[in-house]
Amino acid sequence: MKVTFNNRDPVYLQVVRYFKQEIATGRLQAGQEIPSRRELAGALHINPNTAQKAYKEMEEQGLIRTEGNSPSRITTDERVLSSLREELILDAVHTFVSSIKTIDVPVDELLHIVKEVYAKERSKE
Amino acid sequence: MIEVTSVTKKYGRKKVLSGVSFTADKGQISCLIGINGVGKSTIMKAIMGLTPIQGGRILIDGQPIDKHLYEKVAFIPDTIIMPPQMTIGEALLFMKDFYARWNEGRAEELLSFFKLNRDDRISDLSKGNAAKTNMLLGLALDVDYLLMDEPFSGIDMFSREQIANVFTSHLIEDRGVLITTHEIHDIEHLIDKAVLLDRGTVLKEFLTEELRLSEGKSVVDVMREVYQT
Amino acid sequence: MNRYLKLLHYELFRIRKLYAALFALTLLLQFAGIFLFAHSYLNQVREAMFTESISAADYAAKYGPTSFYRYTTGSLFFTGPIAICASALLLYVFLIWYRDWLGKNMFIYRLLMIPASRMSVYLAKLTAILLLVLGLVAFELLILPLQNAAFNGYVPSDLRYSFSIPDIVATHPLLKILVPNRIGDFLLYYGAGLAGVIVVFTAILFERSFRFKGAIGAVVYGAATVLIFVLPAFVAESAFPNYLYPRELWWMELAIGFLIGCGSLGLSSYLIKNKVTV
Repeated sequence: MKVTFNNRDPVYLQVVRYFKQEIATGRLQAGQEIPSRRELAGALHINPNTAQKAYKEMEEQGLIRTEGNSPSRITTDERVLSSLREELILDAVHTFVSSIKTIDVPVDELLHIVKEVYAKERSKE
Repeated sequence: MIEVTSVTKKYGRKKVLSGVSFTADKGQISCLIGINGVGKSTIMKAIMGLTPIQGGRILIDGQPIDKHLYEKVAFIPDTIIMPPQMTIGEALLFMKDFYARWNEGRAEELLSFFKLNRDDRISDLSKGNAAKTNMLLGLALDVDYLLMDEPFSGIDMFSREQIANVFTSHLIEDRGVLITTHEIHDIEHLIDKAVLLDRGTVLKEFLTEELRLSEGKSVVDVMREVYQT
Repeated sequence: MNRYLKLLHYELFRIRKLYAALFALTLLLQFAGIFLFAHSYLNQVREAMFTESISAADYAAKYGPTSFYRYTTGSLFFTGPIAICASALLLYVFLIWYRDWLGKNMFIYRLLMIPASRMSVYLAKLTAILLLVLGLVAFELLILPLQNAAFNGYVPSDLRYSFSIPDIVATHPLLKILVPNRIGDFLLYYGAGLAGVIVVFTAILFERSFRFKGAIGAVVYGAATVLIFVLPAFVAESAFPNYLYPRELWWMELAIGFLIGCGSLGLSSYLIKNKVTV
């Protein structure tokens, strides 16, 4: 587990985003057990309060479930999981769009370029 | 909660603190930030009753400092305060003898976590190991509040990392931690609250996560704003 | 109480090496002195016997015999170690505080943060000084008979007087102060000594609380207590000679000493609790 934090976004939200990415890309499976708050704090080198806050946020968003004293698990709720993927894609697209729109490129041309660059990048992997 | 209210302090004619107010909560890491000589250590000493203040009030969970509170608040100064001729083992025994809240299991755990040797004489320790021993003596007390004066200054990189790991562990969980530093970079994402000091006054007190959420500013951004205007 | 005893134990523990050195020094010098003293006396006797062709008994009759008492009063080897021990302890009255403040590791932080009354730190230091003094005096009393025996073994009996140890202690100018014959004097001397140490401790706390200004205050305070202690006796003796009986004067001094001690103790307690600074 390795996250590089920036100092301008709330650390707990960066932790939540990290979990979303891990889930969306399948590195964390539905129903999989996740580390305790204490372990997470140690692994990510964050303050235990921040880990606690991140878990609370994820619970509120329905990303994880905690029953009684057993360890927290990733949700098995399909709706939440699929919306996650959408959310991440939309987030990235929004970021992209907001930076590209200053250049004022026609959409068709833009899409064409995106396709080419994306294909090239993927072929490298 | 540690409440520092309008505290003033003079050394002779020189005013070191002029109306310092802030709070440090239980379950949070609060950080007094300021360059050397702005009165950070003096505030720590004043909270611990190690130096008298001329005005204002300091309360710990609503009570002024007295002998009973030394079982509730521990202070880790910036240098080790055990006699140099003692060994680490003797220092641990001394603490055990005098503090009802000494947690021997935790002391053992810290001894191996910091890789310290009981038989080493304090005067022979490297700077890093002296700092770790100093930390150990405070952390192994089952106190509600921990005050640490410049825990990262003047020690090697690996010792710094080890000490930083303390702040991400159960060792400080649920406790109120107040640390001072003149160098925020290493620990910026570790602290819950920042109190910016300059020349004996508090310029700004804020919760770091709240400020990131509402204004998208890092602690360093705020420091730039506050200290450069 | 418990923590006071632990602190006292620690105070004694940390001075053990220096203290043992004082014992060793006293033992060594005082015994060495006996042999040097007796040796030079016997040489003198032998020389006189040779040049004047007289017997040892004649010598004793003509020039007077020697005695262990003469050694204890006349030789630096006996009084020197006592003076050294006394000065060492006097110095330690200051060092017992300043060693915790000065130096890189300020142990005073720890001592002031012990979850017990700060007066237990103070009283532990005070008791430690008292015990160190009593210990050295007791040691001296312990080795005195041994020294006497060694002396008697070395000098033939026709060349010496023998005194009993209690007689020596009662007449020796130094020992009669350290081990007074009467319980009243013991109380007065040791009480005055204790009050003196308390006054010095208070003066040290003044200095440690207010630094430079405190140091001036400390000197003034010390002088004032000495004045208060000495003045009544001085006035009584010079202005109204024979007005007070010695016994009454003794009681007065004891009372004044007691008041000074208690007052200083109270002041010390206030300073160490509220004013002292690391």
